[in-house]
Amino acid sequence: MAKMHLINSKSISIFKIRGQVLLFLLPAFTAIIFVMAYPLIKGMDISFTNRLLTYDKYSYIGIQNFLAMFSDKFFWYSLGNSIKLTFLAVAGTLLLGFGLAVLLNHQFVFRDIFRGALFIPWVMPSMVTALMFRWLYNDFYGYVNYMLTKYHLIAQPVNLLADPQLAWTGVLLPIIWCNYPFVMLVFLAALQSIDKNLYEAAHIDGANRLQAFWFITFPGLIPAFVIVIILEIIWTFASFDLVFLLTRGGPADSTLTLSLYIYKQAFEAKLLGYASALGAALFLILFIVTMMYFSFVRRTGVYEK
Amino acid sequence: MAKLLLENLTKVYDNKVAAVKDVNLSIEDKEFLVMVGPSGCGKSTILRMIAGLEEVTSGNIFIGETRVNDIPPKDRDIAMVFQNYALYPHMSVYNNLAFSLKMKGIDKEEIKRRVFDTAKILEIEELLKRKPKQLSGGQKQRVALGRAIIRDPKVFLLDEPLSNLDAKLRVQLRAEIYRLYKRLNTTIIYVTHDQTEAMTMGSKIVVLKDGVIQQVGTPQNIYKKPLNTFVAGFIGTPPMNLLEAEINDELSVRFQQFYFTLEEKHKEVIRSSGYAGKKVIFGIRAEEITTSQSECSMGPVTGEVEVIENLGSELNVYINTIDGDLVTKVHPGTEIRIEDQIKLYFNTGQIHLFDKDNGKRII
Amino acid sequence: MKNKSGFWNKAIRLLLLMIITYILLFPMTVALFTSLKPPGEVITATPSLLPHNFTLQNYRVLFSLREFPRYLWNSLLVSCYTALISILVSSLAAYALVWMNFTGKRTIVKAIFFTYMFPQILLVLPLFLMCYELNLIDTKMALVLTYLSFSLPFCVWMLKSFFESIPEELVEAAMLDGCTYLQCLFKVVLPVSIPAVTAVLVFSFVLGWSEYLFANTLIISDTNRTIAIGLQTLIGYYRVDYGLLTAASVVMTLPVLLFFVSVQKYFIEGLVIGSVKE
Repeated sequence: MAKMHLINSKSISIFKIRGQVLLFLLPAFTAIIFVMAYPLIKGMDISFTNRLLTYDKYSYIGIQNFLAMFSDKFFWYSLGNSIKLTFLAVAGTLLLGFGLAVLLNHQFVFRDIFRGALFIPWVMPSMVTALMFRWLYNDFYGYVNYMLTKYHLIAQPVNLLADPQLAWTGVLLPIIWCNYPFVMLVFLAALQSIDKNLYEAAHIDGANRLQAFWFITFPGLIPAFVIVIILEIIWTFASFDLVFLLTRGGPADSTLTLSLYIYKQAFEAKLLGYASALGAALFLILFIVTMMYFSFVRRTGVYEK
Repeated sequence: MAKLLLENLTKVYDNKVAAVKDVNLSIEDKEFLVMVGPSGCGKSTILRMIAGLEEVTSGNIFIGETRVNDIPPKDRDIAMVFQNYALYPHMSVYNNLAFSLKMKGIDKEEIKRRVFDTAKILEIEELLKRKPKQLSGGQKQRVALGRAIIRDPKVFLLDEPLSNLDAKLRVQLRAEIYRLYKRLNTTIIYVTHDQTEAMTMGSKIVVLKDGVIQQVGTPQNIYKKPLNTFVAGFIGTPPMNLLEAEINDELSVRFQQFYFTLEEKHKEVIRSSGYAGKKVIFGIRAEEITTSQSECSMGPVTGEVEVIENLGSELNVYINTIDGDLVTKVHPGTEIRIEDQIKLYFNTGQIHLFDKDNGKRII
Repeated sequence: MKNKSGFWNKAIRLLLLMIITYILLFPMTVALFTSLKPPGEVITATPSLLPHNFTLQNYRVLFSLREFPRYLWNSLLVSCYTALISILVSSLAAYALVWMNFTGKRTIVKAIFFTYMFPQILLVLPLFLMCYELNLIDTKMALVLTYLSFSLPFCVWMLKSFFESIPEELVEAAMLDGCTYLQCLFKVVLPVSIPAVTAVLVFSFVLGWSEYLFANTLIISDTNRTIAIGLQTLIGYYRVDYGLLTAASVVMTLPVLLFFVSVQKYFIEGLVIGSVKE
């Protein structure tokens, strides 16, 4: 008997009673609405005001904030930085995660230990990660710099976070470090769910390893890839913690992302209204990207489940 | 122990697919009813509607005197055995059996007594401490049966319980289920796609196709007098031979190779139902076809042997003739080879005639 | 497959993994060893990886600080509450989404995935104002509620995926055996879903423990500070004492790590099923 997917058709008649349904869903939805939906709307609302952080009187000023935003060069600059960061970080994360998944995809004694160890960066608190990397980068007392100069690999110690040119690398490394485990896991799961018989059949048919990879492995990874890439893009684009804790946007605003800019406008310049407008822009961008992404996916039928 | 009544039972899914169409069925108390049919015929759906796991689109279900359509499954006083056993994997066998009793609030001593009693009936006492994943298929099925038995329900529902077992176990458990039925003296509704199971176990069989009841009757009845070509071809191993023939105006059944005249009683039926001069489907069971002539046999029909199945106790021989493909049973010692030309005779004592267009039985 | 080349393949693979793991875990090893060094070895022009003199001095100083144990305690409370309430709320919601039929179910499912997209930075401003108006500023409860909502989409998604992989007959059998919805959830479905439950617990706990932005914004007084911010303040007072800071980092990381390592198997299994079934 074909088992029908639960959401689509079969209704267990016993669960007819609506009241019970509501009861089950209510806690979760109250929480989500209270902490996400309502603030979102309120945030949108504030973006039409000139409100300041000091809770004084404020008034509605229409779309002035948004107009100001368009002519604000820092907005465009930080937006560009966010895009750049997302692009580089996601690329690096995907590569590393994928590579590790491939390496881990075979049964051997220590496999679980490695998998667990390699997963640890994901659970590290952002504060700790920032601190560890700052210490690592330290040019006075840092071990890495010391070793590198000692063996003449570099001329003199360099603090990745202090140099405007190199700060990007300094920021990208921790971000990739933090994010790769999730990607690794998803790819690993996808790799392991590919039917082993397919490989055997291909081997009998005379395919070499490269062909096997292209025709079997790659297509099997597409659903995972589709999910992972959009999640990583969303998370990285909107991310705040690491960049803030590492550089505060410096040196000289070279790593100022949009999230950081919003924070600075809200808590340093105290321009709550303007900051909310910026936040609204951020949200809108994410929303549009996600919608475009999903319609693309649906159209090309790449993702089947 | 109760009787059931299904009245105009219909189930239509969201996508407008009708799985069950206007089924009317009455099941007597203490009857062993088997619902059989190919995949997708609606038998499991009917069972699940009786259990309350599927909503009834229209129609009524009565258990005893009560209309149960709106009563939740746990209050219908029924028990179900699933094809996949559905044992709670995190509980021991003891707890699996005890679960429904715990839900009812029965006290511990009573539960213990009943669990041990049930385990004894099914001979699974040594398994009580184990977890489902440590059990074999047959053992799991016994526990599933035990879970149903311990509730002492009015009706037992079994949904293809033996389908996941290997052939030998199936035969073994079939007998055990039947023994249980006799011992518990209760009403059982059994769903299967295996017509052998249906024939050997049921006191009454319901043959279903595409959500419609094709025939209801005892195994003997259905075997001897199938009401349409579907039932004729579905019940019986090997399946009934169905050939195209024509009834001429003199009321003889004509094949390409021979013809025979109908008996008087049959002639009456043909005359009154107006089949004279029409094409029909002629059915005859494999055991009614012989390789030697006898008193009431007609023929011969000649053809070439295509396949010989050696079952040990007999041979199934598949022959290709101009009138169609036939299968017959012969003694294992018979000298016969593939590509042999062979003569066959029809024993006209047990013949079946069906309408060519709708497959319905004529005589 | 020939044995010889198989052996070399395995050896190379193992070697590669060991090297990569060493490199990737390097920041942590450096931090760990630094925390065990006396100040003289931390502030030196010629640092070495391993301490010459192991010492727990940094840890002693850390715990003698008035505020530090308090920060730990706050974080523990917040994280535990978040984890426990998360699993409760999300299992109820996931259960309803999988086994109950009601209009708008599909839109709700999509909406849940949608909430992933909410950038925290956008929410922090209005939430700050809301908490102020409701007098919830500087309370641990505000944090718990916030973290709860952040963890819910992921938890519901994960549990839902896992629930869908449970054979429906199990739930049907439970209903036939006389369970109410709640009984079925707690006695049958959840015990069978240990991997997903673990994933949810770990995720929520880690979220509560290590979150920075909201802890920074919503908590003002020292008494309610969580450890994420506590670490921050240490940087303020003790500018360059990396020995102390790394010790604090280790302490902050240890519970999470221990929790994770002990349930690692289940957590990863839960994540895997959740992600692949997506």
